[in-house]
Amino acid sequence: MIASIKNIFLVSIFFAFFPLIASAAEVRLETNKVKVKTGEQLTAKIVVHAAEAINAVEGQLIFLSEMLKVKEVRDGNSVVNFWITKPRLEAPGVFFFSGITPGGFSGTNNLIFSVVFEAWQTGLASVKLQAIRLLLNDGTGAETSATLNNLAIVVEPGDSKLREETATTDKEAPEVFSPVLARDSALFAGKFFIAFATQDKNSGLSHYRIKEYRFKMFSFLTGWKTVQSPYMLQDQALKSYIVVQAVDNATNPRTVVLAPAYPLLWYESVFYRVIITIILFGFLAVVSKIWIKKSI
Amino acid sequence: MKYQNKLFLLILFLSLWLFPFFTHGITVEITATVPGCGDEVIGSGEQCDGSNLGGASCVLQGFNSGTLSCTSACIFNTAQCISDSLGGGGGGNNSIIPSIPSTNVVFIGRAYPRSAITLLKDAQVIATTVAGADANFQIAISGVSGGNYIFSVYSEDSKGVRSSLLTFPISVIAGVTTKVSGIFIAPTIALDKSEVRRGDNLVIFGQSVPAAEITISVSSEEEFFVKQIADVRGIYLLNFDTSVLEMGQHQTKSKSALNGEITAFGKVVGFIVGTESIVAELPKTISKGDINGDRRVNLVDFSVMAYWYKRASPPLSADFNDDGKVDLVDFSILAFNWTG
Repeated sequence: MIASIKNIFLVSIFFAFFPLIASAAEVRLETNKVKVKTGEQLTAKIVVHAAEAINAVEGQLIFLSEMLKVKEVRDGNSVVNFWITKPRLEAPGVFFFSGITPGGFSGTNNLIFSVVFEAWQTGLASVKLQAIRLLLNDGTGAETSATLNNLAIVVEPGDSKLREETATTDKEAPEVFSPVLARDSALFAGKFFIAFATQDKNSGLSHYRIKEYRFKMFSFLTGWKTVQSPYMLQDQALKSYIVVQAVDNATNPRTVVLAPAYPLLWYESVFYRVIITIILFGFLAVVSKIWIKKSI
Repeated sequence: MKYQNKLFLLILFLSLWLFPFFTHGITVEITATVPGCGDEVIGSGEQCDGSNLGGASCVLQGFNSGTLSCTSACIFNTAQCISDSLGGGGGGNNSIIPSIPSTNVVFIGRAYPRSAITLLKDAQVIATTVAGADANFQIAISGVSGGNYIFSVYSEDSKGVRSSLLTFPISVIAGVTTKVSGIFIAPTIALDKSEVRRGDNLVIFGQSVPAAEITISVSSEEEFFVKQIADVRGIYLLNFDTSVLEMGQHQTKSKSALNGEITAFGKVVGFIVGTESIVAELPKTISKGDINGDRRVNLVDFSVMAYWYKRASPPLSADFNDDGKVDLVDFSILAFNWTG
């Protein structure tokens, strides 16, 4: 009897610790609510616990789109520095994401991103992780095994009262950044481009926009263009000012200006153009007066 | 004035004014090669070049005032930038940090004597400084928001060999000065031979903090650990007798300890024990990740890779593991070799 109790105890211990033995990392879906009413919002976070440094992550977040509606994606405090594919819906109920963290991250509670859902239909709404890949910061891109922990949300009939998740108060602009001017034969047929990236620690980054202009005083004539990095420059002569603006989800902008690599020559500037025009006008006026006088 | 004269003047006026717009509209091909560092032109992978800072300033770099300059490696030097009451980067002295209401982060640590230190915030270069003769350094940055950051730091020794990237996540609280001390950059490591004849000596050398105890690991079927003391310049050198090693591929790495503080193991360097000896070059170049060949692995290389991600027939320069595609593994290799 004692022997069989001992065996059961050992088997229980083995299965209790099995996930820890089998996997070097754990990817969890965490939520603040496991039971909601229809019309109520909840936040699902993807967090990674890792013993070894991870520098690349990709995967899918699957949910029942007929039961849950996506209201917002938040990546403001993500450990991912550069998104290869920013979290986006690639099919109804399927988010895809991939990104890297140079140097890697390890330890507990590393946030990848979070999604705010609104419950639509009653029932059991599952939110699952799928095709998750975690690569080690070892120089070879070796994959580490990961235990996945999914979510099951109970959606109950609502009382038509909307319960929203707390919106992030964000009055700060995205982080300061330095766009890099470059050209490479492997991109845009060797034409000049700029690469840029920044983060917003509060509401997350919404988009980038850009404008190029040669004359500062006429910059207002050039409109903003929403772009992504890398962006091929319109002015391949590199004589234009390049203004890049990062805008967060609370519409706070961070603007950086790159001076022209090859500034306009003196005779190309507006000031000298005015002077030259006046002189030429004066000269032509005098010449034409003389000519008119002679012809009379 | 006659009609012809008026027309002539109008055409002259329009041509003078519209000339720059025409040139803007036409694609102008530049046949010159990409300007290199030191030619006053901000080129591929350069943040600045000489006196050309590309419109950047200390304020844009997150400081309150000061003079931004450009290093010989064409990256911003924020040593002369000033954040309220806090000096910029400076090496060698552990001064007392006053409390400041704005959000600041101060980094204090050890690298190598007189070495260049580069600090990365979320994988982008935010500041550089030079360590003192005692290998100590201090960098202060300001103007950051409250939130979670991944800061990284690396150094370059007197021979131009880079350390591994030391990464640490920091949660910055708005309005508070966060002090990060005890940063201890792992030693650099290099070998005199890439292949060594079994029984010959292999010289393993590098740089760390003066008088630090260096532990050198040589991995074989059995792992060998040898301890050395770095000299006053922080340099260590070990003549390792390879007769104890089997024929084949081996690796070595080193770590450093001083006054109870210890680094993680630094970069891993491989060598072959064989039948002949081949002289090795200093590992100054980045073996993988540097697509555009500017000796840096940064946003430009990431951009090129992101363009070719999952596309057919990527260039060989972007396919680091030679599997004919650019996928997450290639990005992981890029992230490992990242310099910012």
